Amino acid sequence: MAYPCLKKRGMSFLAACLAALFPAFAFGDSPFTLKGFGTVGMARSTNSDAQFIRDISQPNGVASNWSGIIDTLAGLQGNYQYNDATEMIVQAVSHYRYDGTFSPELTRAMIKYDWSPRLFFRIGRVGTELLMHSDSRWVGYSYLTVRPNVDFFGSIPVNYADGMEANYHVPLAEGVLEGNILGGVTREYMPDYPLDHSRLLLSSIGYTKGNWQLRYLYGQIELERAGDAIAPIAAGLQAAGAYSAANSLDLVGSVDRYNSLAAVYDDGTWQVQASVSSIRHQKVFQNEQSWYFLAGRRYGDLTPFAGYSSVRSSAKSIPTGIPSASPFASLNNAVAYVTNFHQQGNTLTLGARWDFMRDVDLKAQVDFIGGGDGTSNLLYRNIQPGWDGKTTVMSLALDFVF
Amino acid sequence: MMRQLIPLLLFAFSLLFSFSAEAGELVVIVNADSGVSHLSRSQVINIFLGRNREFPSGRPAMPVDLPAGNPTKALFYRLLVNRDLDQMAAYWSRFVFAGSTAPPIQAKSEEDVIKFVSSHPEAVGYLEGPVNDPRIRAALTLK
Repeated sequence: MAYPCLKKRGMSFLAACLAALFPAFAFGDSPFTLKGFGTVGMARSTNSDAQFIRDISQPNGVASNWSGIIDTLAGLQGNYQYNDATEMIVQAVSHYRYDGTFSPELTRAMIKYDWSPRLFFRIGRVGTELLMHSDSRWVGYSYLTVRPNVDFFGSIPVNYADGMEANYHVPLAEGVLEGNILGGVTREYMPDYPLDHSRLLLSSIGYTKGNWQLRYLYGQIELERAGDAIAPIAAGLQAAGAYSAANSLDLVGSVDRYNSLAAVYDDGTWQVQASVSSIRHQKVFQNEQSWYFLAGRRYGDLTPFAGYSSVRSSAKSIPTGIPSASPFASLNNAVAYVTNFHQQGNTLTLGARWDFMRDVDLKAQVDFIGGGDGTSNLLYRNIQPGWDGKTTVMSLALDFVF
Repeated sequence: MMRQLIPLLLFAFSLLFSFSAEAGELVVIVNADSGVSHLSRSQVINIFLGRNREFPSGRPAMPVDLPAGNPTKALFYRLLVNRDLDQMAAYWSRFVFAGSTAPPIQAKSEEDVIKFVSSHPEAVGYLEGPVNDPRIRAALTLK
C-alpha cells in the first residue's frame, strides 16, 4: 500500500502525515507546534587591532567595520505532544560557527517525559545550562542585552549535549526548590579547545520565590580528544624529551570544572542579575574567574540597562626544559602560544531594549572594554601588534520569536 | 441648590470608585470539584509561571491562559507579577526553546476558559468579574 503522504513535500504535509500516524492530544489545536527565534544583529568595534567575538567558537569577529556575523542567527523548533506526559522536541540553529559558515546544527532532538508534576526527564540531544540561562543564550528575545555578557559566557560555548537529564523540584516556604542533573557527551567542535565528544556532568540547585531566584551550578567536562591544534605540539614535546610539558598538553582524560553562583531579581519594573563563575582547567589552559552585574528598568516598552563585568585568568608556568634556539624555537613558541590564551579585563555595558511590537524587540548597546593587562587574546581574533585590550563595541540587534 | 447637588455628587463619586475597583479586579478560578477552596498569590504565581504546577494538596494543576492580546490576560499578569505581555513572552521564550517547561495551554476565549475549567478538576484559569457558574469556584481575587 502506498502512503500518499510520503509523496508530498513541505513541512505542512509532513506535520499532517505525522499527525495521522500518532494519536492527537492537545487542548484544542494540533499536538504539533512549529516555533522559531532569531536575531539580526550588527556590531562594530572602535579598535581595528583585534576582532571582537561573541564566544570562542567563532573564527572571526568584528573590527572597525559594521558586521552582522557574530550575533545574527536563526532557530527553528518543532514540538510534538505525544500524550499528557511525553513531548518530542527537535530544534536546529543556524549561527556563525567554528568553520566560518552558518551551516545549521541540530541543537535539540529529545524526548521529555513528565514523571510527575515535580519530576521530569529529558533524553536525547538536550540543552546544557553550564552557566545560568546559558541553554537559551541564542534566544536574544529572552534577555535584555544584545548578547550574553562576553566576559562571563564567552569562554564556555557549550550549548547542547547527547545524554539524559533529570529535574526535580519541591515547594518550600511559598517558593520552589529545584535540583537538576545531566550526564552526557558534548558534540560541539572547536579546533583549539577539544570539547567535543567529552563526558559532561552538570548539576544545579536553585530556589525561586516571588521575584527572586538563586542558583548554584556545577559542571565538569572530561576531555576525550587531544585537540587538532594542541596534539602536534604535545607530540613534538614528547619527541624532544620534554615529558612534563608534554603531559601538561596531553588533554585526553583531563577535567575542566565550572562553578557558578547566580541571583536574579525581577519585579516587573526592575530586572537585576548578578553572577560569579570559576573555571578550572586541569591541564595547560589558564584558569578563569569572572563576574557580571546587570540592571534594567522598564519604562513602558523601553528598558534601558547598565551592566559591569570582569574577567581574570591565572597564568600557568609550563617550562619545557628544552633549548630556546633552533630547532626547538618553534616548539617553545607553540607552547608559549597555547599557555598564553587568557582574558583580563572589564566591560561597562550601556544599552536599551525596545519592545516595539509583539514578539519582536530592537536593542542598542555599547560595551566599553578595558582594564586588565591589555593583552587579552582569548575572546579576540586576528590580533595585530599594538593591541592594548581596549575597545568600544557598538551593537544593534532585532530579535524575534514566532 | 448646592445642598441638593452634594448627595448627587457623592453618589456619582461612589459609583466612580466602585467601577474603577471592579475594573482592576480578577478572580482565579478552579473546578468546583477540585477540592481547592483557596490559593495564595504565591501558589498561583508558581502554577502560571511553571515553577510548580500543583495544588496545595499535591494534585497536579493545569493553568489555562487567554489568547495573546486579550486585555483580561494583560490585566491578569499585571496584577499577578507586574509584567506586561511582552515580558511574559520573553519569559516563556527561554523555557520553550530550552525545551523545559511549557507555557499554560491557551484557550480561545473566556467562554473556553470556563468550559475547560468546569470540565477539568486540575484546571486553573482566571476571569474578570464575579463567578456565577456553579461548576467553578473563585480561589483567589487579584486586585
